[in-house]
Amino acid sequence: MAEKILSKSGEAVTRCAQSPYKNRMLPQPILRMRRCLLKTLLVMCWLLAPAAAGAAVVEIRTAEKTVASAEFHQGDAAKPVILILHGFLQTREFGIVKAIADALIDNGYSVLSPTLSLGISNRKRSLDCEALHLHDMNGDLQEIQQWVQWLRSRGVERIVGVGHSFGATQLLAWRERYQERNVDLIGISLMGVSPLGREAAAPPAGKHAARNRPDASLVRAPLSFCETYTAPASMYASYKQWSADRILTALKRTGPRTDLIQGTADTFAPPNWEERLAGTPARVHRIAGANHFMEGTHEFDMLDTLLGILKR
Amino acid sequence: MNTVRLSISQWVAAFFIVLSLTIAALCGIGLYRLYETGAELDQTRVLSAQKELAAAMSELAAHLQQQGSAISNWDETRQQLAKPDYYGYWKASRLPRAGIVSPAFSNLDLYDRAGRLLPGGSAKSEASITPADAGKTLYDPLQGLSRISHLFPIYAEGRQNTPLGYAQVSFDLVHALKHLHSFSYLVPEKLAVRNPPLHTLELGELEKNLNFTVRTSLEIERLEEAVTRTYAILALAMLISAVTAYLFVQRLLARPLARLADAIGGLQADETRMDYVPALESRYMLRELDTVRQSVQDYRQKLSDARLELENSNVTFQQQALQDALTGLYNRRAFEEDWENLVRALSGHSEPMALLLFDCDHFKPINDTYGHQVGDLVLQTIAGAVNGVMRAGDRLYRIGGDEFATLLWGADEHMAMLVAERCLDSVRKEDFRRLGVQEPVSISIGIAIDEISKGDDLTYLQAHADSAMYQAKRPGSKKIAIYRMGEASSEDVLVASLETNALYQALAEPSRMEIHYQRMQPLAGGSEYLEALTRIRHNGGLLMPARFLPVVQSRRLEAEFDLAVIRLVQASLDSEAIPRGAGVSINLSAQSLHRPEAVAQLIELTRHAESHPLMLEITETSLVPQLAEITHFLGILRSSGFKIALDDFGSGYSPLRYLADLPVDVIKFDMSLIHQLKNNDRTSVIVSDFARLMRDAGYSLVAEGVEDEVMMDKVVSLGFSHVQGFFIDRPHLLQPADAKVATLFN
Repeated sequence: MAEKILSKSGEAVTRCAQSPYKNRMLPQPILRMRRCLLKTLLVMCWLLAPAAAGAAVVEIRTAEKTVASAEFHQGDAAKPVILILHGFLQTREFGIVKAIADALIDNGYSVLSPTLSLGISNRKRSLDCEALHLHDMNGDLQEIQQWVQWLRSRGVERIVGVGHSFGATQLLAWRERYQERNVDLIGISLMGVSPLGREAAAPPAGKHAARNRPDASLVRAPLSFCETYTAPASMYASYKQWSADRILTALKRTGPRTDLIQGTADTFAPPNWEERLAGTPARVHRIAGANHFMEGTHEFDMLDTLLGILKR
Repeated sequence: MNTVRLSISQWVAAFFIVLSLTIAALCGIGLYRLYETGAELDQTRVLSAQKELAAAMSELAAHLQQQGSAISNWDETRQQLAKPDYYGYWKASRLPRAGIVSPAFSNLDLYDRAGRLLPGGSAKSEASITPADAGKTLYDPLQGLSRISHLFPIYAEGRQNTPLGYAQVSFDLVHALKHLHSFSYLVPEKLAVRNPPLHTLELGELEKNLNFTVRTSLEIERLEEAVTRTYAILALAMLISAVTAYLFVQRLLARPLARLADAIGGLQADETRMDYVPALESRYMLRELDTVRQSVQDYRQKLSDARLELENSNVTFQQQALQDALTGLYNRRAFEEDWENLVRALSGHSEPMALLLFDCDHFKPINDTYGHQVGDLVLQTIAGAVNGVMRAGDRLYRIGGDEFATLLWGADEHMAMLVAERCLDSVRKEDFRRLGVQEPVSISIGIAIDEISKGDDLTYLQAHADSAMYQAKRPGSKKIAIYRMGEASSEDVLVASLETNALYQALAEPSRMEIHYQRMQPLAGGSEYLEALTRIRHNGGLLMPARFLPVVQSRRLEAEFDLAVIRLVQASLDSEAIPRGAGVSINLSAQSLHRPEAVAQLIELTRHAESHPLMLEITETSLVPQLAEITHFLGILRSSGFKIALDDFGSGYSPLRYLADLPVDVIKFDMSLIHQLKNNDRTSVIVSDFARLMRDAGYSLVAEGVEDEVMMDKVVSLGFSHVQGFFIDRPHLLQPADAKVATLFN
């Protein structure tokens, strides 16, 4: 596995040392005001503070010859290294992912935040639903495995995987695939790739399946939040199999070391998802009123919950 | 300096033409200035268009850079370069919807690092590119402006040395520029390459070779359109104004002035034709013009009246001019005019014409004897008498003192004679004694007839009639003579004009005259006389007195003729051609007795009275005028030694009164009386008795025309003192040493 650590410039990798989420005894209005002030200070720190030492972009070459990158922040060595995985088609720069990483860094954790290549070297942006998707679940899991090995090659013994949305699913799949039963996973807004609200619907057949052309095997069908997802049938199928049921199965297999933070207002979640998750060994933490992206003040609740889980 | 003369309509038209031209010139200047300004603005717009093109091309270049950056940074570009298996689908389905390629560009193709088109690429795309063209925007003459291409190298993150591949954006230049730039000055659709090169050009070079068309300024166009429309409206307004004004001026000024001008011109053009002068009765709208119209109309009316009066006067004058005041007949002028009119009326054919000339016989003596008033009355009576018997329509003219004429159109000889005899008869019937004239008054008529053609001269016909007149006046004539070509009498008449010439030549050159002397033989003692008888030598012959004396009388040349004869007789006496002792008898007209020089010349002859007794023969008719005056002169001559003889006694009138009043010594009986003596009739007795009576009264008697012995015996028996005639002697020319005369006197 080839790797490379690049110094990062222009990236907000350093946060103010004092986390505002630690003081939970203050009244709520005052607390919110303080949070706003602190967020403003954070932005100012991001604008003014020089690049912090220890922040680096790490690249690896995947099995498919693409270059994948991750941002690694070295934290307290005594604390576990957190591998944060973004959601479906997203990057590590996605809002909630970035917020989680920052919060963890602020709390002294070493964080490795990769962006899955999805078959594209140095992918920097979220991949559009409408793009031609030449990646599959297997490649994604291999990349996760590469990043885990990269951490372990640096002497990291305790790794905690934090995934948002389908990233949590992929970490769950990775742990199942590679039998990493000792790795703790924290899933935030865990969900599968079934079309929203159509969990039970069967994937549509590929339009060009019968054609003897390179694109004849392409399938254009809904997947996850994508109304139209175009990919070779096998690749499509590799994601498509990770339905709610498949997740529940995986949880049941590796559930004891799994924590799940679910918003009660997550409209992306399959029906009765909380109840169904509750039937697994995983510990489910509810964020009242939070949606799939933990927006608003629910983000802080989610982060507090996350930090609480890590401190446990 | 010549003044341009135009009608008011022409002036008005000229004014509007000049005004229109001026306005057109001003409009032209305005348009010229407008177009000039427009041209300046166009120049500015050309510069602005150049800048605009440059700016647009810069924008295009910048946009291409942005496009390149966007393509390079797009993850899917690298995805396709790394995994081109589905490139065809991606390019066809994904790329158009991705929003990566600017709408300014029409196409994007991806090539691998070797420059080959990714598999599945469009057949329309270039199969390969030249990696060396990376970063260039190229114009291919074969593709034209519709397919400009720009090749971008696609690098992996942080690896600028080796490209992953290439992306080529192709586009239509005009479309791209229009998309990127809002053109205000140039028309992008009309961009064209000037002198298209044979090789590819980069964008910068292409820009230098672009031809562009400047968009016409809408403001200028609108301004020009507004100005042009304004000028058109102005021109239309001018046209309408000009036409209206023209019609207005025409109605108010031009037509009235033209009518006035016509009226005044008509007044000037033909003063005798008032119908040519237009009436000016309708009133004019302009007061001043109407005043002029009224004045012209008044003037026209006055002029018309004056003309009418003048015409009447002219008629009167013309009539008077053509009328003889004394007789009321047509005068000589009318005679000539009528002749000309008649001759002019002939057209290519001829008509017979008779000219009758009337002459009063012995009018001069009558006039002189009875005075002019009586003479005038005689003429009036003759005129009335002749005019009263003229054919209807024929005119009688008084062409001289006692000469009248008429033209008988279409008359032949018979008709002319008929009219002439009628005239003669009419005059004979007149009683002239009521005028106090005791002597018979008659007229002679000369007739000339000829075919008259157009253009003929009156002169020759008049000459013929004149000649016939002399023929008619000859003693023994019937008072009417017709000029006939070829007849003997007419031959004489024909030469009348020659005799006239001969007479005038003789008077001018007395050497042409010859004096022939005829003896008057004494019967009972006493002196013998030689009567001087004149001959005129002409053309080798001799003209006798019967031929030229009428000319002398008609031309009133008696005094001149007598003077010439006296001089010749004096020459004969001076040359002693007349034998000594022989008397000389000279014929003398009464007119010569009025001439002092004649009297003086005669008295001059008396120096020969001692050797040559002198006698003056006064013709009976010539004694008529101025009897007292003649008596006075005759008394002088008688006292100077002349005997006075009354010649041709018996052929004239009132001889007895003359004999009583005049100092006459000798009476020469006319041969007509002497010839009567041969007859044993009452006339012979009367003549015989009258001869005895005269002899008893103390007069010496001379018998003329004695031609034989019988007549000789008769006159001897009657006591005549002298006898003359061919029985005694014929007139002959005397020579200075004439033997015959010498013998006679010896």
